[in-house]
Amino acid sequence: MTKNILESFVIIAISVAFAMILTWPKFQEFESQRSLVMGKQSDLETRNEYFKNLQQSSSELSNFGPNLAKIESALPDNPDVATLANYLEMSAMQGGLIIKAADYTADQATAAPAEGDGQKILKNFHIALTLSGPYESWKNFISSVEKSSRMIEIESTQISANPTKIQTGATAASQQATSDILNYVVKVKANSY
Amino acid sequence: MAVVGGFFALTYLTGKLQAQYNDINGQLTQQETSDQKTLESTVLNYKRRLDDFSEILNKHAALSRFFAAVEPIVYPTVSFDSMDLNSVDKTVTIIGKADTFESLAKQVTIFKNATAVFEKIDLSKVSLGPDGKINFSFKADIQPDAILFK
Repeated sequence: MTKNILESFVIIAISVAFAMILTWPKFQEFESQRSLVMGKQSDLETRNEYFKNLQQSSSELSNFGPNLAKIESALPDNPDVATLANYLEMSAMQGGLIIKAADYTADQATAAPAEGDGQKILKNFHIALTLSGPYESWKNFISSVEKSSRMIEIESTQISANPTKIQTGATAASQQATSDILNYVVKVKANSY
Repeated sequence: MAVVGGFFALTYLTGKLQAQYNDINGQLTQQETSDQKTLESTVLNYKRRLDDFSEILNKHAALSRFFAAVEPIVYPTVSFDSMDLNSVDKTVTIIGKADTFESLAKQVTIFKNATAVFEKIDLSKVSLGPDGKINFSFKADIQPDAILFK
């Protein structure tokens, strides 16, 4: 009787072991596949959420059209140096300043296109102006430039008085007028993509 | 019997998971349509533009504020021949003339007391000119807030 029970127990144990040996690799394969599917499912949900957020952001951005236009004007896609130079010239002339020289340079460090990720890279360029005119005109000029929608940065400025010119026959009034005229060298920076 | 049943059940489920995996993979690949790429590029470029704008605006210098702050504190018998102002380094170098040493000393004191405008003032050159006036030159560090656009 006891022997029969022992034999049954051994047979059951062998059967269980056999069953495990047979199904274990399949179970492992199943688990591995399930893990892969869960990972991909998570990727899909993340991606869906990402595009949903992008769509939402795009809708929100479209509500700020006028403000975005101002930002686009401040940081345009094109440097449009000619328009900027024209603006600087007009601002200077309207204030009563004379432009003696203008020099444009692009930053070599950022001028090269580097759009590997499809995103635009901000580039800097500089315009150096040599101006001449009354101090009040100068103040009006820089005030106008600082408030420009193009977001122009005045990086440096040098102001110097005209060397005293004592000319034979020059009247006191003309000497006074000469001394009121100052020279300015201003370096401005603007940005574009 | 149960073992055989379990084996086939696992085989069936694994196959089903494989199909599901292929389906999701297909969806992930399909999602990158040109419209979505355009949307992504547009939104990211706007974000970049807004970030750049915000950074530039926060650093935007207004040198007119410096001139407006300095004009009222120039001593009457002191005049400036030249001024180099750098908004990047936030420094100014001023070369000028004073009628007397006392005028120059008063000017320097006034500037040193103008802590909202100047951080540090170094009088680098003082000399008596042939016209009897005092030639001077000094370099000063400007308070960043004094030239910040507001």
